[in-house]
Amino acid sequence: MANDIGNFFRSQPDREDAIAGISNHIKSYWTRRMRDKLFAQIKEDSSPLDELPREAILRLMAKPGGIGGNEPT
Amino acid sequence: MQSIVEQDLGTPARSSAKTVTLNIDGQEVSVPEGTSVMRAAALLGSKIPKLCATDQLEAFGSCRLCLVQIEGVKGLPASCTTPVAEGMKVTTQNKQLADVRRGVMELYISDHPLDCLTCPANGHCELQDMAGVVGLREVRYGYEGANHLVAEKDESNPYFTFDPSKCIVCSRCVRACDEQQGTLALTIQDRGFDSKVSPSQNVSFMDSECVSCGACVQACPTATLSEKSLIDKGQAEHSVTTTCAYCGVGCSFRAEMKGEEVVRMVPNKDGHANHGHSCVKGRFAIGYATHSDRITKPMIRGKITDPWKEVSWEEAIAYAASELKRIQEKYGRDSIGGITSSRCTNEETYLVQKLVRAGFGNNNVDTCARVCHSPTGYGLKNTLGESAGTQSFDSVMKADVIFVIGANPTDGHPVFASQMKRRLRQGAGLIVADPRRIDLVRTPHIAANQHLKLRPGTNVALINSLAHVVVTEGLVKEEFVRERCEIDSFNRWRDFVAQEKNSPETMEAVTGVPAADVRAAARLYATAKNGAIYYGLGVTEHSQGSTMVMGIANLAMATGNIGREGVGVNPLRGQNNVQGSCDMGSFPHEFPGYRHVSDDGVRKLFEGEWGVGLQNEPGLRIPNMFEAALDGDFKGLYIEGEDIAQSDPNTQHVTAALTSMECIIVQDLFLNESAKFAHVFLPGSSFLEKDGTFTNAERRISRVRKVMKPKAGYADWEITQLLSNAVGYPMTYTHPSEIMDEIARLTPTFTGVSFERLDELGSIQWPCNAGHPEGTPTMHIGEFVRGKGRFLLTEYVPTHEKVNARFPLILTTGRILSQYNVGAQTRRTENNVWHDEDRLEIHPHDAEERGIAEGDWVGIASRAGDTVLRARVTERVQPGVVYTTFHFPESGANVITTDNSDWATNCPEYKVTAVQATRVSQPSEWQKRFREFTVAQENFVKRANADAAK
Repeated sequence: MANDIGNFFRSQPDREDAIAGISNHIKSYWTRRMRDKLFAQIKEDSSPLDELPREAILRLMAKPGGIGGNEPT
Repeated sequence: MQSIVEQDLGTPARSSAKTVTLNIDGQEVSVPEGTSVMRAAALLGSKIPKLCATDQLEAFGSCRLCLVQIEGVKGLPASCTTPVAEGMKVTTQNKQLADVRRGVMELYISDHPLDCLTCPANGHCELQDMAGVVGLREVRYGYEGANHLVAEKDESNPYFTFDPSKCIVCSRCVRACDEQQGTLALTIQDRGFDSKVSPSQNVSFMDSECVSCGACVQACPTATLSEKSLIDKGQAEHSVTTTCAYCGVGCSFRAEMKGEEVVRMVPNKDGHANHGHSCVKGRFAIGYATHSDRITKPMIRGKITDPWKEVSWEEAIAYAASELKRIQEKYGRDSIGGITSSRCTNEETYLVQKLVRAGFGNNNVDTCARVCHSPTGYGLKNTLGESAGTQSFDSVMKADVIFVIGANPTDGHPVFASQMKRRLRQGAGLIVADPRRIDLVRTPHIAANQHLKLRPGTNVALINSLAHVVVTEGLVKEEFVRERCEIDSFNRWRDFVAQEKNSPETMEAVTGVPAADVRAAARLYATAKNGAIYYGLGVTEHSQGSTMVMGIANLAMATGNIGREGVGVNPLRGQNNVQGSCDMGSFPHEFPGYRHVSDDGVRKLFEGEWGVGLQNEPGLRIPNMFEAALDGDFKGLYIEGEDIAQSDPNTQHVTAALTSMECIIVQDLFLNESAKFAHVFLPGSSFLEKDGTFTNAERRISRVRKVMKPKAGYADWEITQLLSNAVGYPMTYTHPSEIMDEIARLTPTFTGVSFERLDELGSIQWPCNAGHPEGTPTMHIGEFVRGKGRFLLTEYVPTHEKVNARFPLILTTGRILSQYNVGAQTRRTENNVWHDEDRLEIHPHDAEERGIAEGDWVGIASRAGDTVLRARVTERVQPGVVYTTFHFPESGANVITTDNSDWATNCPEYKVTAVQATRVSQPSEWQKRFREFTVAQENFVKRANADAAK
């Protein structure tokens, strides 16, 4: 699912906008448990994430808590 | 026969800025230019006798009863076909007119049965009325000689009877079928004395093209066309105005009653969505509300393999509450949740999401929109700023080009489709984008300019190629874009769609649509003075559903087709209150009014009103609930009106999840598929037993009014309140109007809404607030809700669901006119005569390759599962595509649909499933298990009934 989200935002001309869009979407719509499950998979390196959503999730993991609105950038 | 409470003013109203003043029988009256003399007189309170005229249909001038005298005009013109003129002097009553009228009535009555006292129209028959009005005392011709009194009745239709012996050949029925419904199934056959009403080529109604909308029955001034329920029960003694509980048109009806029994449902002429028209479902298919399958006593059980036990309401509610509390204590706060449906009123939905948020303490609440129009909410919010369609239905009458994408309005929104067809017959252009040849492509007097027969799953490729034409051929409305839209986002989008990869020529290999057709369609839409897009689940139920909605919004903005009548982006929301269930915040991430749960200001507002802290994290969507259940984290669920075990994709996955839960509470009318997995059954109410509001596809909030007491003893909102109090969150409402008042206090788009205001205005389209005190028919006038419209890039990403040698066909699904969604309501009515099983539509080429003939049993297998349906061989589908409906649980349509879903909203990709079809001779393994399970569960209910009766 995160890869599918990434596929939408990949077309953004600005990579930073794309990364922000992905992390914002996941913050806005995924439960904390779903996000934590994904974080755990990344830490174990067992997640088949594409590069762009991986970068977005890593940035999300680096932020303390914090929930965004529901607009893609 | 018309409603018992409505006045008929003779001919339709006209709207004109110019007023004409004339004199009728010595009194002056001023009316809009174009009004007929008949209607002007009626507005004065002067009723000119009539039989062929009715204000729902254009004047016909055939009965010759309505003749009048006009000063300076020769002869006696018909008042129905004569428009008013300034200074006209009209006499409606004198001896000459009376003699002519009496003579006309003598002729009618000379060939009419004189069985008034036993006729179903007795007391409400226009012919009888006119005989009285003209003072008919004798029929000088006598009754011998040729007549039509022994003409045979046609009782083939399950809902109405056609008795030609009573027909006065006024042609109202023919005209109703033409003008109102647009099916043109009726005609007057032969001439003179031999003239008779003929369904199609003189066949029975059931064998004709008649779609049983009932417009002819309502138009008939005698008992010739009568509802069977009226014949059976007699005339109603009062009527209650309410709103239909079927599709997203939200037709207004007068429920005509005898005490608490419905005699018939008559469409309300003043209905703002339907203007006096209806379809077979709303008008006739209400028998489910009193069907013997209704469960009216609460039931509980420990395990789903246990029999049910009928208990009192107190015991059922206490058990449900104790289970929910036990589960939360054992598995955590987030281990339970709730699901609402379109069957719930706005007030009921609001209470369920309030119970979940304030009572359960989480945001695990979702609704039926998850599986249909959730991408609409996402896509339109992000582009235009509001999660709803932009127009009223009436806007279609000002459209010059109508573009229907992934919708089948003649089946899914029949009353709106009739209005659309009226506009098309006036000359509006039509583009249809659909893998199937839907009826609208070629229907009486209508032919689509373009039918873009794309492959399922390629919507975004198509919309991008249409946009490519607009952008590269200079068809952008530059001024509109400059004034109304974000220029940066527009420029990015323009550069994106202009790329060669998005050209019709390149995309032809993807979509299967010839490039020339795409160019022609784009030019037609973009150059129209008013271009309007209407779309349905063929857009949203895809892995790129949200992306496609954004693509539609992009196209509409680029061509300047937003912000006035006749244009717009119009999602045809499928259900009576799916819009409302979204508006009411039955979403894991949004409060009522589409505001995110993380928004501190909004959350504080609700916390202040509700007196409790609320979670700021999004909760579980329905598909996430299933995943969490299978993970062992989600164990309790309260479902009101939704049947997830039948309607959600990948049935075996859903039922595995339900089986893993410890307490499922189903509040419904019947033992539906989900209830077979439930531990608590709370008997719910039909729309006839509800007080509240529904919101249709036009954002129109309409009143639902109770016509009978809830059969189970409690209204649905009362049951939710009982449950809430039992889990420890107090609710003390005494009437649904109080719930709406609370909604209005907390929701800026609903500030001006109240039951009182709804009674005053008839209906209200939100937003309704200080800025729009009477509501908002057309959105985004002058400015988008988000300020400037935003263009979003919509790269085409093929679905994961690929065809291959093993699964070479694509299955897509849809609805049919006579059945409705999971069929829980319509399967329990006479509508089964039109569609008594789901069939697999397969192209003759694909059928021949597989040795499949019409009616053969066909095994359909996908990566998710397999089932068996009977074949319908037809060229409506293209080679490589098969189609079925999902109205019967035993057909297992969702056993084969997969978990693929829209990237943004998890709306299931029902429209694209790779399958193989094979001729078989027995049901599938799933169907065999389903039958055994169903029999066992039904026996549990029967046992509970029997034990309680002892």
